[in-house]
Amino acid sequence: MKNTLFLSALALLGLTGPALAQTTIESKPTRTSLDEMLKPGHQEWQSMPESTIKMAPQNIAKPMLSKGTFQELKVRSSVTKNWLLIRMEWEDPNADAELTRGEFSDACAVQFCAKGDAKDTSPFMGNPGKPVHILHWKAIWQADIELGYRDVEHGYPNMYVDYYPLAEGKKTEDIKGPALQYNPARSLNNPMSLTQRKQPMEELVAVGFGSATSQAHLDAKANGQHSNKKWSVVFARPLETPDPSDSQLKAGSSVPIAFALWDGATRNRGGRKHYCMWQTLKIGGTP
Amino acid sequence: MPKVFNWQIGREMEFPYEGARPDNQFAYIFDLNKCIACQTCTIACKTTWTAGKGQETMLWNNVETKPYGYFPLGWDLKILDLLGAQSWDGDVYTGKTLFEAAESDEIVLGYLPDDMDYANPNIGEDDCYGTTFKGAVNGRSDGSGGAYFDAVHHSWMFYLPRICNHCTYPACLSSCTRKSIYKRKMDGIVLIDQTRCRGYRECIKGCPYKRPFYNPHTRTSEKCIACYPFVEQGQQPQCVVTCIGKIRLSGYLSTPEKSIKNHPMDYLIHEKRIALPLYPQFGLEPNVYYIPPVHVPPQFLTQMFGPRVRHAIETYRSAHKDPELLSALTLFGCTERILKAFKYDKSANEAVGIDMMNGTEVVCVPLTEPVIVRPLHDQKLGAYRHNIT
Amino acid sequence: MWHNMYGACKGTVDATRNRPDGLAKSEETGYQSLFRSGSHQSCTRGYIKPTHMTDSLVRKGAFGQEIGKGFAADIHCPTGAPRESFVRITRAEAGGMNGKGLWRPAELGLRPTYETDAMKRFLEGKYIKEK
Repeated sequence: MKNTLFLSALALLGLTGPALAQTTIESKPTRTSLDEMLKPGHQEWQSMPESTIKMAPQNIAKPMLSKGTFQELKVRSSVTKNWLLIRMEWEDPNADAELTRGEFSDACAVQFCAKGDAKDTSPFMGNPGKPVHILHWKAIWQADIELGYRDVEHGYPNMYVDYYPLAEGKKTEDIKGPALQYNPARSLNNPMSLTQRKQPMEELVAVGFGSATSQAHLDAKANGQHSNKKWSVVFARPLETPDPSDSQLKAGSSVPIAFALWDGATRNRGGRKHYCMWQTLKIGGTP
Repeated sequence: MPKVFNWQIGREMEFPYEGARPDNQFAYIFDLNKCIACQTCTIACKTTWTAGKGQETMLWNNVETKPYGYFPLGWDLKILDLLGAQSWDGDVYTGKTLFEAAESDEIVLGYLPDDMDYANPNIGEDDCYGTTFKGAVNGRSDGSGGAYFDAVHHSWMFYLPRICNHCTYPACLSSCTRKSIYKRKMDGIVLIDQTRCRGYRECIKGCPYKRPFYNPHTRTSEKCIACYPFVEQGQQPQCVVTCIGKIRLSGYLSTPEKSIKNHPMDYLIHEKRIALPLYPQFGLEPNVYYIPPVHVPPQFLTQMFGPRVRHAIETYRSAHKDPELLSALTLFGCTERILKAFKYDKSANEAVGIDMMNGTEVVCVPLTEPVIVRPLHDQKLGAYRHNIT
Repeated sequence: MWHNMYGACKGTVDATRNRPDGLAKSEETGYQSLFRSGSHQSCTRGYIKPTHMTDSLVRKGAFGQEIGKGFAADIHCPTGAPRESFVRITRAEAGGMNGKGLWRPAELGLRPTYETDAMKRFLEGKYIKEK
């Protein structure tokens, strides 16, 4: 309700968000393998045209960011026979990949329309009846996979506990079975509590602010790295998936696409984020 | 923004959601004249709920010494200072609630504590106000300070046990952008949905009492659940039942206009008004009530419990003349069962408690301890009685 | 500090001297103490009991009225909790991290004699006015 009202308000006032003109991101075909393209530093990415997207602090629904830390996002895209690839790059001097010690993780996301199009789907997390399909990467998950689950002892190396009731040890992997009585989020399979992720990302569906729900089945992949004070993250998703809540894409078509960024260092999380309006993704290749 | 009526501040106030009171509200009363900070409640809660990985620094129940104790560090000073000095006009709060004082970007006025603020859970224990003033306060201008007795005791401290207040207008629930926190219709208990929470910690930022905690193992937030599995069976929560000093009572509280006179909670809170909410000026209508400690300066207590402190203390001090009041107070800690009614049995001089679920008399407690005097020498046994082993 | 069980012992004291990070964590057992030395009862003595239970020590029995000599079990067997001590307190080092500056709660003005203006207002109950 709030979103459609806002969209109409935008239309009436002739105002748009951070980008007055939509950017068209060109997604060129590639013959390089998927695994190679998942490396943000692979040289094939240099032959993909780069688009600059203006990012703005989320200022529609409380709690808001009145002042952001990121202004721009660089996007490149590519397509293989079956996969769409999106490469996001933005400047962030600190790689924040920690959730202990009161810290927050850097993150980014790509958003597609799952059912409708840019005219009837709000770029701000969708609206009832017009869901969005989101690919969401977090730096902490990247670190979990590359370096091991960032558990309590990672944040506090000198900590000491005698024992955890009903657990056979003190490590992450020892907390299982009856010991999970003390960790209901894990026994209920909360996606935030997965200690053995295969991908540093999740897929979500949303129909408006606060409704984002993790999908049980993950079709996409991601890989991120931090160097030269920049994050670069590659998402790969099948053009067509068996999941009815996913957006289905076709080579040779144009679809709305939007992005979001979170800066862990300034405690971005949830709605405290950087966003942009719908852009256009022109998917290359022959249908 | 919708307006709701908050009886603790005697007026309507802004709240992000349409007001909807639960069918029943589970509430607590703590008698601060009796708490000895033995921390049994803390340990009971910890072994029951927060002994798992990621919960190491969580104390869903904690007992802090006022005024120099706080967990997390300085929690009440910080929010009071953010809100600024505010006023009461009689029973009506004329200042701003945390919802009304929220900054333009925020839903509620709040702050996220530093990680290190949780590092000293028992700081200030037994530290008194008024014993360590430097300078000319105690007549010594050389700064050597220190208290000396001048026939008036300036120093004071008291223990403040705290749990989640299961507020009627929770700031945690209001802060959660995903509606992962809900207040149960059947008993008003506020819970964080462990399937929906994504660990944003907006609830921690929003709650002025800092009762939600972040679990870095599960990466979700957790808080006191009012031992709801017990409550659903008509039993009082762990922290109430294990309290050695019998300072706690829990049960269902009606709104003031529907107060039931022989209901122990309604009687103490609405009829006698001897138990007061914690920092009612925040506007959350918390449901843990406190009998104020009689020895503490009223100005400090009013800051903490609102304008009816003097009346509550007067009433408490006169309890020995009021057997009905004494009965209600005597029932604290005497039964595991949640009571729906109590009465003073005049002929037996006993307090009687009636079970909420099945209506039976579940406990009776004499108001005066039976005293039997035995002679020093027992002629039959030919032995002396000693009162030492 | 009440009944704090993680007191120092020989292993942890040695560890503070031998471990490169200086942590009071026994290298043999992994037991970690909260104290670099002593415990919450350190106003008495280290970890050597102060009273020698010699055979000639005159003492009252734990039960009854009898005055006797020599070993007798009591609550803290073999020696009761010390009842009086003279205590000399000397400053070891600054309370802040790495031995510099104030302990954080004092730095933040939350401790007696270190109160900020806000803390003083809080102590005096000045955040609420009644008409």
